[in-house]
Amino acid sequence: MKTDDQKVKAVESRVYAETMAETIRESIVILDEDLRIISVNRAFLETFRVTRHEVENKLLGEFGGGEWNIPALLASLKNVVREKNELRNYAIGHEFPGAGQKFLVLNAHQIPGQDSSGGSILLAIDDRTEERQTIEDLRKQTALLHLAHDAILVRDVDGVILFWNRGAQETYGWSAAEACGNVSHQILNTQFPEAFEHWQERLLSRGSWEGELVHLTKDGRRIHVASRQVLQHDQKGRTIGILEINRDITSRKDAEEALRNLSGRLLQLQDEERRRIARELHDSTGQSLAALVIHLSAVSTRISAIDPAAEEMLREAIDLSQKASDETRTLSYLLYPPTLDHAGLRSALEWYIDGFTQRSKVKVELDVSIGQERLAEIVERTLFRIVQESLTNIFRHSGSNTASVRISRQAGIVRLEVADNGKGIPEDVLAALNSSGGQLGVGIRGMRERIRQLGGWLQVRSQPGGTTIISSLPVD
Amino acid sequence: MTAGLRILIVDDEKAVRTALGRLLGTRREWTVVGEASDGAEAIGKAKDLKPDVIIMDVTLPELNGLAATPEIKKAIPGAEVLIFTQHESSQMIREAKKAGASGYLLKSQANWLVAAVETIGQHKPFFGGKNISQAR
Repeated sequence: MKTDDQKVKAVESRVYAETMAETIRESIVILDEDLRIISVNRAFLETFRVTRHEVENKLLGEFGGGEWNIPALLASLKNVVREKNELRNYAIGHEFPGAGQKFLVLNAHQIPGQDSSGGSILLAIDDRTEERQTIEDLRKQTALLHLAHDAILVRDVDGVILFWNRGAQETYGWSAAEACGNVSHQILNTQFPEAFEHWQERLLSRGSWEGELVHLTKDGRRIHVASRQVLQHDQKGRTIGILEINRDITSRKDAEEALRNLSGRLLQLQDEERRRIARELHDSTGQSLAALVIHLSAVSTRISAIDPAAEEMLREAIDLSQKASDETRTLSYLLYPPTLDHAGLRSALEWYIDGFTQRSKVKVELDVSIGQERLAEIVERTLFRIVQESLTNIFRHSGSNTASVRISRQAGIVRLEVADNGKGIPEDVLAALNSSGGQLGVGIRGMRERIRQLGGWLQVRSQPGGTTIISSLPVD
Repeated sequence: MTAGLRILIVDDEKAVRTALGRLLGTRREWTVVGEASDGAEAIGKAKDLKPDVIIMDVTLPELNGLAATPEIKKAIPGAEVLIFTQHESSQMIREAKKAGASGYLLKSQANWLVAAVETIGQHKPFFGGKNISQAR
């Protein structure tokens, strides 16, 4: 006999259980021992898009279009009744009319009956369709990432590699198993374009970064990559990782290098050719013209007393010869500075600056402190050309009416500084000039290539108020 | 009027030496005593022939004209050197003066040569660039 108190408690428990069943997101079905549906909760109706009327008091294997007629499942559930045991994490994938393909995880328990009957079964159905889909999507995406030739890696905020695609393995040599778990910039020995801390800060504050990096492969090759890096956030906006896509551009870099070397070589060849033509003009054509003037002068002297008209004609012939001679000399000087070979850099610069100042009205201060010893011919020629180019630029672009040229020699390095007090180079142009890929400034690029050919380097510093071009060249 | 001058011609170009000989030959009282085609030969001939005037090219094999001039001036202080060159620059004029030359004339201004030789033959300087008539 149950007391009233017990009855009240039983009713309370039942209400509690029913409320809970209606509230939770999992589908719940109560079956009798014949697998007839006693009741279902709201989640079941919503998940499988059926009404209470359609399912209650129907056999599980028969209701609707018989979509639950899954023999293996029904057998397992009967077994639960018979053996009074449970069904744990039984996973099935099944097509339901109206509800589509579902991935379900089932758990069932026998609920002991009050009499001798087999009691009922509580069947809990967890719909994992969405989760399964997400995993499937991710798998497909990952497969796509593996198809890419680019190296794709994901690292966490500490730089630890979490994902490494096949492209990364092909690019760097390490398999995903070898690479994952390592700090990416350590395993790749990354050369950053600036101090790592600054670079990292820039990436984190801007959310993305694009540029070139140098990496070391597993077999010790140094490769150049074009890199794009983007921060990955979770739903709450916290940075959870960095997606990095790198493309190997080493062969392009090599080709650019070869092209630069070629242009440098062409500049040298052009110089040599100009020098040859200049000499030919000056020494050969120039001498013949000079001899012509002298001959004509001799004739003129002899004929003046006899035939004044002939002397007048000769006068004109001499003028023409002189003009041709002067023009030949000017052309020769423009092609190649005449004093560079025999008198050296200092004299050639003095000569050039003399003429430059006369033509441009730009006053140039020259300071050459390299001692008495001559520099290698090619070094002198290169420095001369750079001064020539720089002063021409100053005259054309800077607006400065003064300039200075300083050449010094210290510890095996000759340093040339050409400075003006002009308006400076605009910032964007300057950035393009100082980057290797810059398209602007053929003149400055030409200078840089001449310098590079000799193992030196060139730097352009500029601000409103003046520009300085610094060239450094190693000498023996 | 200059008395008889004895002149040495130094130039590596035969055509120029020949032309110079003819031009100087227009003055009967002058004598071309010798020719040289490089700097070293010029010094030797100057010492042997002791000319009054040396017409000196700059670009020469072995020793250039600007280097040969001080040597000649040291050996024969009375000889006057006229730098006769294709090179046109105020720096070249400075170097010519520094080397001890008394005159400087561009080859294309050869119609001034007789005047230049006459001037330095009187131990007076003669320096002129391209615009010689204004320079004097």
